[in-house]
Amino acid sequence: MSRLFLKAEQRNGKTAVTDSFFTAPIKIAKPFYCGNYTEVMMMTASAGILEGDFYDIEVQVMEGAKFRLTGQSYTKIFKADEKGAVQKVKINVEKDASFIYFPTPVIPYGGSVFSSRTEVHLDRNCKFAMCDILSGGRKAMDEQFQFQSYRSGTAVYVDGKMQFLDNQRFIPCEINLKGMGFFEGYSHIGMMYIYGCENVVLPQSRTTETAVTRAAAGICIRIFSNSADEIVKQFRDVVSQIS
Amino acid sequence: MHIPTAMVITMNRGYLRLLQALDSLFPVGTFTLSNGLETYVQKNLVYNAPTLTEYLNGYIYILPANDLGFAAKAAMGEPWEMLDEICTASKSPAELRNGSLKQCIRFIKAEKVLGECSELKSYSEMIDSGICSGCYPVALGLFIRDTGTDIVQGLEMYCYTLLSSAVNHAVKLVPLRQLDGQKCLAEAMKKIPEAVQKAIETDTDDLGISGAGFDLRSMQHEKLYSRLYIS
Repeated sequence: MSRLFLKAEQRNGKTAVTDSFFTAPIKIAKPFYCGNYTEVMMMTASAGILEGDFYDIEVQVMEGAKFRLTGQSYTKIFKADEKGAVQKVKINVEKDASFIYFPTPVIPYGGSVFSSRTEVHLDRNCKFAMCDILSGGRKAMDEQFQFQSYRSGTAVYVDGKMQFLDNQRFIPCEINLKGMGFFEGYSHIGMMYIYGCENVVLPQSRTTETAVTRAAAGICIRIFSNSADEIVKQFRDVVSQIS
Repeated sequence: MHIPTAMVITMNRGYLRLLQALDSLFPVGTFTLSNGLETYVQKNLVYNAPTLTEYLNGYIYILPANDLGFAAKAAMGEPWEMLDEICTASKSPAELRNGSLKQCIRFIKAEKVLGECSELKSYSEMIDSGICSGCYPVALGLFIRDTGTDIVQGLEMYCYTLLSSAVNHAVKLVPLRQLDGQKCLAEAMKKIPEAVQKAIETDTDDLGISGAGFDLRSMQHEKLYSRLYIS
């Protein structure tokens, strides 16, 4: 099991990581400061996520802190025989705090099995944004939709009540994922959830299909594209609108 | 064979009450909600019988973890407060969520007029007090339970109406020949028993699976230039 624990607190006008803990292969880079935010980049010493891996990530953003957690390049999920890999993410954002969770796009390799569950607990008066970007598989290796199964669930609770749920389950042997209702001919899909911002302006692009809606609480954006970088670029643009 | 008369009467009455509630003419507003299908037609993704069949294939694939799953769990007696919370949260596209809410409110109102359904009454009170938001599949599941209909049969009927209304919308929107639409429906219907079985077996953690494409198209529907449907 690989663990990452981070606690961000507001100290003397800026946000500091006051408590952290991680086990191999997860590492974190030294925090850096951009604008009001303090940013930590999560890295892994291994090439990707292997069969039997269990990632357990917990982030606590305390009152008034402004914190960002990002990743490096892409998350590759390697071929598995049976049980595959599991990831659990738990996020807690307190009053007047701001947290942006921007993990890297995920590429499930042929034969891989992956299941991820992200649970976010927000105070009603906070700001939060996160994204989830998925590739259908490596195009050059002719591995699109060759994984065994991919699951990603994100549940956002505001003051204890679930207000947003994005539950994705992709099992290529059960249904044509290129078809209607799923990737619809695109190779990548992206989801972004934003809480605590009244409005966001979507970047315009001819190569992507983008849409925005109001969830029970917060805003949800979805993008279909043939490039992960394009989705990342558009989501960065949206995130930059969050102060 | 001797069948107790009273039992036959109750079963038939329950079955007929459900048939009435699921009728496309029952005033819950099903005919105004395309659930994103209008976007598929306008973007020329659904334009003939084979593409409608493809759409229905994807649709019935996610139903057991979606509307059909919520109805199944409610019919099986799982706490509706929890089901309502998950259902509302998972319908992130505003039009899907509001459509389900409107259908739910109208359904409860109609059934109130038709007679007493105690579970719907409690659900309605929880919606009024703000504890629950109101979700049509949950209300329908509670109603199936109240009618005493066999859960599998009740859900099969519900699943049929979901498919049949999608087909009817497509027939009007594309437009398609009536019989072509019915052929697509007959093809999709073959998958109903499997979908219902899956819905009954669905784990609570799996509820609310949406299909990213269905969500995106439903979100795009909010901004379509001209629209015939509310969702």
